[in-house]
Amino acid sequence: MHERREREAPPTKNDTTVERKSELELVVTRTVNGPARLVFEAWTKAELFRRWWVPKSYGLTLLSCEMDVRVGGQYRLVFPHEDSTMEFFGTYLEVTPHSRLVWTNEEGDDGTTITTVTFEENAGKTLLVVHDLYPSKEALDSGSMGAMPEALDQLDELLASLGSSKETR
Amino acid sequence: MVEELGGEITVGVDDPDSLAGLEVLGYEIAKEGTLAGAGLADEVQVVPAIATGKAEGRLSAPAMSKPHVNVVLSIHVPNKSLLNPNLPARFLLRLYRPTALTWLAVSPPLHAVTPWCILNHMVQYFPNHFDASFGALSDATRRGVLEQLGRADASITALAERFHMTLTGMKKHVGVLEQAGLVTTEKVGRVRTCRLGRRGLQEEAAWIERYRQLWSARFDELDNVVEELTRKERVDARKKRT
Repeated sequence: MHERREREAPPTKNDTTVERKSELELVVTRTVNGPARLVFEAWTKAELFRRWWVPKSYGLTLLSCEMDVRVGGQYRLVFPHEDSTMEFFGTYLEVTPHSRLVWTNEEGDDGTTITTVTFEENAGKTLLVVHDLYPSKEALDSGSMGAMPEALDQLDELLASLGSSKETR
Repeated sequence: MVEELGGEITVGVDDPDSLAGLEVLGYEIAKEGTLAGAGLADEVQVVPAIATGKAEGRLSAPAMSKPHVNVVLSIHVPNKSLLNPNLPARFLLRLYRPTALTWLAVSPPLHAVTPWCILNHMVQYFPNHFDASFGALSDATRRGVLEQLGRADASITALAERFHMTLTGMKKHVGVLEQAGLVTTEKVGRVRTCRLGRRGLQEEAAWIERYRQLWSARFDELDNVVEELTRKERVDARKKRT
């Protein structure tokens, strides 16, 4: 056991890519060092999920994180926002263990953004593809692209809006 | 402990009055060589909410074709450990004007910045179009047009339809954007096609880069969680075997 541990390569950070696939789609990809089974677990257990979804370096804490990961189940993330809170919530549409998660983002005014995450294991590593499909150009306009001039003004605001998967909205 | 740093930015503007309302929003420090275009590389350390500096413009001798304004900035650094004198660093000053555009200015590398006192650094500003950009971006339709063009080139006719405007109205808007260098147009046959100018592309790239940074930070934390799970699983397997 000891020998095996020594032979392990030191963990390296993998590249994160972001691509705007179309007017309505944004795709993020990243390889995680670990089997899909465990990566999936980190996406579907609230106590694990909340540990990484809001990066420590951003200085924001999740007030609460509830996830009922099954088809038709709901999730709700609550962030502090100025003097009150900001909530992100939606419904799981597809839950295929270790390979695919689909959920809605329903907190926006412009309709529902659909997030699809696929987990693809290869040689002990997992390729993650996070795909956001916006309901309309307007939804993308008001959210992600709204970031263009104004969203720079407050880092925390940007984060709050980016704070959940749908962030871009 | 609050440390105060100052820097000078030179911007080309037609009208020094346009500097009214200019505020320093914050600054960012990047290790040298890690700046990726208008976007910011991973290593950039973002120091938010230190934006207490006010920019004050004063006209200097118009040596160049356009009048130049030196903007003197004072930036309060709440914790000097944020600036490591042993690390070559660059200052990124992010300026903000309530009505419009944000842009970045990049200082020359700051080597061994000690003692912690007033610096006088000339900060190079991405050239010009400063004032025109403000005006161009003050209009919601024009911002919409830029967003639209950020995703795909479009003809003036298509833009007019998209924004429910007359062709003439849209031509005017596009003209303003074009003057500001935010949009370029090209006429082929009877169709005038608009696309983002370099400036707009920078904004676009910067937005994508910020989005990428968030995900990158998020995934780094995910790595830790998965690593921990992997370790735990191994320990459990070992226990089972013994």
